[in-house]
Amino acid sequence: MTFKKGLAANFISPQELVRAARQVHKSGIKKFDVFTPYPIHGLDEAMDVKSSHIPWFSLIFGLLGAGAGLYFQWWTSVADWKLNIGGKPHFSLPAFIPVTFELGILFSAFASFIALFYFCKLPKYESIFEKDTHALKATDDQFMIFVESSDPEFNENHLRDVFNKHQAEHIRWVGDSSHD
Amino acid sequence: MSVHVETLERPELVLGIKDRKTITEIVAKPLDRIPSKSWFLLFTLTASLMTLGFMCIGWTFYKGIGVWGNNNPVGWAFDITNFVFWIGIGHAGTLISAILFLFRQRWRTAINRAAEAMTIFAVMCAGIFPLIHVGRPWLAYWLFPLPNEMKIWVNFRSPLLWDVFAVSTYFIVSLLFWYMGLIPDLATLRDRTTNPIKKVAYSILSLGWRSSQRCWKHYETTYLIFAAISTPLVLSVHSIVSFDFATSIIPGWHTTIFPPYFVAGAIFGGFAMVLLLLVITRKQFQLENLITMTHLENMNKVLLTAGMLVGYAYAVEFFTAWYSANDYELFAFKNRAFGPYAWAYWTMVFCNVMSPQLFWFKRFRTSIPVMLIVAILVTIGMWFERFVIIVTSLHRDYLPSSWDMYYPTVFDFGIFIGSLGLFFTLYLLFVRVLPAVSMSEIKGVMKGAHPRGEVDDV
Repeated sequence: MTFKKGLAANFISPQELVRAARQVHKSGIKKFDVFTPYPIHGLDEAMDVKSSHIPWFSLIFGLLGAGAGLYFQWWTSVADWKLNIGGKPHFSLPAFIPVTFELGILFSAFASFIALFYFCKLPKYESIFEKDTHALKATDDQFMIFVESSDPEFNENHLRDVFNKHQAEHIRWVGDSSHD
Repeated sequence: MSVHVETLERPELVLGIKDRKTITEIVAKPLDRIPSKSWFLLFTLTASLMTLGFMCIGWTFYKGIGVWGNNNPVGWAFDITNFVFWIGIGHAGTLISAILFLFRQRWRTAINRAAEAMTIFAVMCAGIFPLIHVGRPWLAYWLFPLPNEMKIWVNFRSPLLWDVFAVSTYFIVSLLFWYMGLIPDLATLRDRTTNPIKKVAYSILSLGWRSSQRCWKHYETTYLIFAAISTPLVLSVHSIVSFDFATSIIPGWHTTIFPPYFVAGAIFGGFAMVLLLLVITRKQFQLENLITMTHLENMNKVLLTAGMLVGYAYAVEFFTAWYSANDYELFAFKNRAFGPYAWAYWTMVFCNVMSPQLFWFKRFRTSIPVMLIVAILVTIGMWFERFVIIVTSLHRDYLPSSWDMYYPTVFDFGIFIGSLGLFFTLYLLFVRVLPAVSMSEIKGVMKGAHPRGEVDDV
C-alpha cells in the first residue's frame, strides 16, 4: 500500500494499539496500516489482514526446481551424452535425488525471497514517513497507526476520538499537505 | 476436591531492561563508536593470520599441491579435514535460526543473528578448501554443469558433485535468510542514525522497509518458510558431506551411520564455536542482559546432548566393525584406537566425549571459564574427529604394501591457521558494522511485548 497523505498517531502500549487498530478497522476504513518495531501477535486479526500467499510460491517453485533438477540430470545423462560410468544405469534415480532435492530447496528459497519483495513492494525508494520524526520511532520503540485521507470512510474527528480514547500521542497529519 | 497446580515459570529472556529503546541503544552502541583497543589488537592478529594463510595458498598455486603433506594413500588430508570442520561449524547457525525456531525455542532470538553470520563465514572458509584441493583452481568451474568444448557433462552420480550443489545451495539460502532477518534492524538503524554516510548505507541495505503490519505478516510467513526449508537443508548438507566418505569402499568410511553421525557432529562443533564467540561478544559489548546465563546454559545443554550423540556414534562404529565380522573394517577401527594415530583418536575422545560431561552439573553449566575451556576443547576435538576419520582410514586400507604415513607440512598448517584468521576477521568486522543481536526479535520476546488479554500471549 502506498500512502500519500493522512492522519497518524503514535502509541506506547501494545494493548491500546491493538484496540485502536480494531476500532479503525471496524469503522470500515481499508486504507490504513499499523507500524510496529516487531510483529505484534493478534494485531493481524484486529486489522483483519489476510494470510500471506507466499507459501504457494515456495511450494510451486520448490516443486518446479526439483522437477527441473531431475529433468536436467536425465537430459545430460540419458539424452544429450550417454556415458557408461561404472556400469551404472544411465538414469540412476537414487543417485540423482540429492541434486534434485537441493535444487528444489534453492528454487523455493529464491521464490519466497522474491515474493516477499513483491508483496511488501520492496525496495521502496521514497516514503512520506521518512521526514516525520515521530514516524521514525515506529522502528524503535513506539507504534503508529496511519490512516490515508483518501479512504471513503475517512472521518478526521471520529479518528481523533478513537486515537485519544486509546492514549495516542502526537496525532498529526503526515504527507504533502498544508495541514499542521 | 481442590487441586493444587504448580506451574514452571518461564525464565526471563531479557533481564533488567524495561523499555524497547534501551534494546536499540545497547545493540547499536558498538556500531556508533570507534572500535576499542582490544578490537584493533584482535583484528591485527586475525588479519595477520589470514594473510599468512593466503600466502601459503599463493605458494601452493605457484608450486602445486606437492607442497602439502598429501601422498598416495592419503590423498585427502588437511584440506578435506578443514573443509568438513568448517562446514560442520556452519551448521549451528541454521540449526539455531531454523530448527530452534520451528521448535518455538524463544531463547534463540538473542543468539541467532551472530550464529547465522558465523555460518556464512564458516561456509566461506569451507569453500576455500575444495577449491584449492582440486589442484588447478582456475579450472574449478568444471565442477558446475556448464556446456564445454569437451561436450561432457558432470557426473551426477558422484557424491562430490552432490557436495557442490549442497554447499552452494546452503550458502545461498543461509545468506538470504540472514539478510532477511537483518532488514528490520537495518531500518531501525537507518531511522536513528544522524551520520549522513551511514544513513545512505542503511537506507540502501534496508530497502525502504517501514515495519508496516501488512508487511510483517508476509515477513513472518516468509521467515517460517525459510525455517521450514532450511531444516531439511541443513540436515541434507552434512548428510551429503558424509556421502563423500560413505559411498566409497574404504574401511571405516563405508558405513550407514555416517549421515546422522556427521549431522550430530556438526551441531556439536558448531554450537561450541557459537558459544565461544558469544561469550566473548557479550562480555565485550555488554550484552549480558540480552544473552543471559539462561541462554548460555541452554547452549551447554545442547552441547552435552550432541556430545553424547557423537560418543554414541563412536561406540556404534566399533560395535558394527566387530559385528560385521569384516576383517578390514575391524582392522580400520583397531588401527584408529591403537595404531600410529592413536594419540589423535584419544584426543578426539577426550575432547568430544569426556569434556562435555562437566555440563551435567549446573555449577559448570553456568561458569564462564568452564564453558570457554569446554568450547575450545570441543572445537579441537571436532577437528581431530575429521582428521581421524580421513587420515586413519586412508593411510592403511587393504593392501599393506600401499600403506603409508601422513605428515602435514608447514603449508598445511599455514592454510588451516589462515582459515581461522579469515573466519575471526570476518566475525570481528561483522560485530562492528551490523547489529550482533536481532533487535526486532528481542523486542518481541520482552515481557509485555504482546497485549495480554487482547490476544493469547505466546
